Amino acid sequence: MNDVILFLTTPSTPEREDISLTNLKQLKKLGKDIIVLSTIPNINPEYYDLASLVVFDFFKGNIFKQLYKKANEYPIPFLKGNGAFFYWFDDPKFIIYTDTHFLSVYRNTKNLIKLAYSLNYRNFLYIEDDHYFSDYGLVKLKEYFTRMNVEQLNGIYFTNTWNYLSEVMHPHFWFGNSAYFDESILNRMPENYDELESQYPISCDYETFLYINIYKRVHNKQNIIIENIRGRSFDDIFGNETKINQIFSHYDIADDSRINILPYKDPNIYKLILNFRKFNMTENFTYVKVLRNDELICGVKLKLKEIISVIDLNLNLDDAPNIKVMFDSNVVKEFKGLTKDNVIKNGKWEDV
Amino acid sequence: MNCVLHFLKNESEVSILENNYDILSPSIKNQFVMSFVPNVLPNRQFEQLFYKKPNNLDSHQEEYSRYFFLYQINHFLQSKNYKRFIFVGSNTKLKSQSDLSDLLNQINAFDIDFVKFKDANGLYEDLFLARIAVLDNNLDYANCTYENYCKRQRYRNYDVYLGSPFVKVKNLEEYI
Repeated sequence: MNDVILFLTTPSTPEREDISLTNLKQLKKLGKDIIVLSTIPNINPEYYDLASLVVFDFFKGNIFKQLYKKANEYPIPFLKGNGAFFYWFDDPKFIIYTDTHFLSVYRNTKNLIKLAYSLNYRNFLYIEDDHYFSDYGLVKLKEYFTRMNVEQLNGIYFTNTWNYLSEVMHPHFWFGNSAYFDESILNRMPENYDELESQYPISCDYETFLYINIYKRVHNKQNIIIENIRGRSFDDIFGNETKINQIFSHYDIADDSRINILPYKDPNIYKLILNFRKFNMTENFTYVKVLRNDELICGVKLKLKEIISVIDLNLNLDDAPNIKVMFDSNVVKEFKGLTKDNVIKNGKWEDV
Repeated sequence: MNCVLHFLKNESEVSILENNYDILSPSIKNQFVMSFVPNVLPNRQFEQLFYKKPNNLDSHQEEYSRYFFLYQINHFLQSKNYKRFIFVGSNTKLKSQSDLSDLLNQINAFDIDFVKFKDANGLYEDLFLARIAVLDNNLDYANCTYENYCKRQRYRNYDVYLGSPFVKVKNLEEYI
């Protein structure tokens, strides 16, 4: 046996299932065996037709925002987590921490590659479910597979550099040699909380972790191809009809990176952040309401489209109230049982 | 490390599989499922569950599919550093007081490689305890091709499937 496609999927809604199956059907055209790992049960029977093996893993490996906050707030000269994951804004200046499911991703990635190795596949394409490769994109994927085999490569990675500083590896897909990964890399991938801590702090952020543990810290860097995307896009390689990373929690209106509450001044002043930069919003102006235990405490008409808006809130959190944020008549976000301690973990507002 | 590999044979047997999980889980935490029945998922905390669509032309093919599937999952478990497992089919309801995990711990490099079970009909194929590295060697000897599988039972006068000179055979009635 030779090549296999390792497909990680979470088809939790009809829309997600549609994106996932469309992606998988395109990939099937490559004529390779496929192993699917789903993180949810009761998947569409089509997955069984398209894949030679379907695996389920329902482990919820969340990494909580307090870990990111702690990792990012070590002062010099302590070990500052270069892998801490957070959203950073410059104007106005603030940081937001969010929970991630990166531990599940580490575990599922590791087990998929272990399967490729165990089932005697030589080379693999590891890929997440939320992409679409056009026929032109498939031709390019096929060329990479050919290079893996003809040039006897150990891996082809797609990398980038964030803010001119941090080297990362794009986690959307990559090629690898199964035996090379089993021998040199998989033992570093955490699949439970103990192992996650043993890799701290670089295990905090998925993209940084991949770059460091799959490439930077590996002794044998021979026969590795790095495709650096910096200054260009995936379109340049796979064509502009190919769509990469269609599902991203940051695109969700209720994501913590979009609507959040940060501590500001004691005892009870907080900042309500409404971040809708690069967000598909139809209405120019929105009537924003904030309710504390269903009692209106703030109502204001705002332009949200393409900007970051900040509202000062005078909030008593002593009795852990429910806070609802409404846009016009719709509840878009609810903070249940919000406490001061919880808000502190959300991030940090920095007055200029 | 010890683990359990459940083989879900029929949709109607999910409750038996869950019962077996509950009996074994106090002593063996990591449990897996393999099955040819798509989307029938037992309601327990398994490590992973492996499913294949059945593609059997006849009963020989069906038997071979199971053999090949076991070969693949056993190889996976070995790569994850598991040492030994209990294989139990969903048609096999374990007794709650069975001491299978004690029996499993007798399997090691210095002692036996397999525990098999027999009843009046002979060896029972839906319950056995195996040392994973030895089972891997058993299953892998013929690269698992269908042709080699068909003549797998004896190779240079040795049983090669679940075969070892170091085997314990127990009475099935004591366990199910």
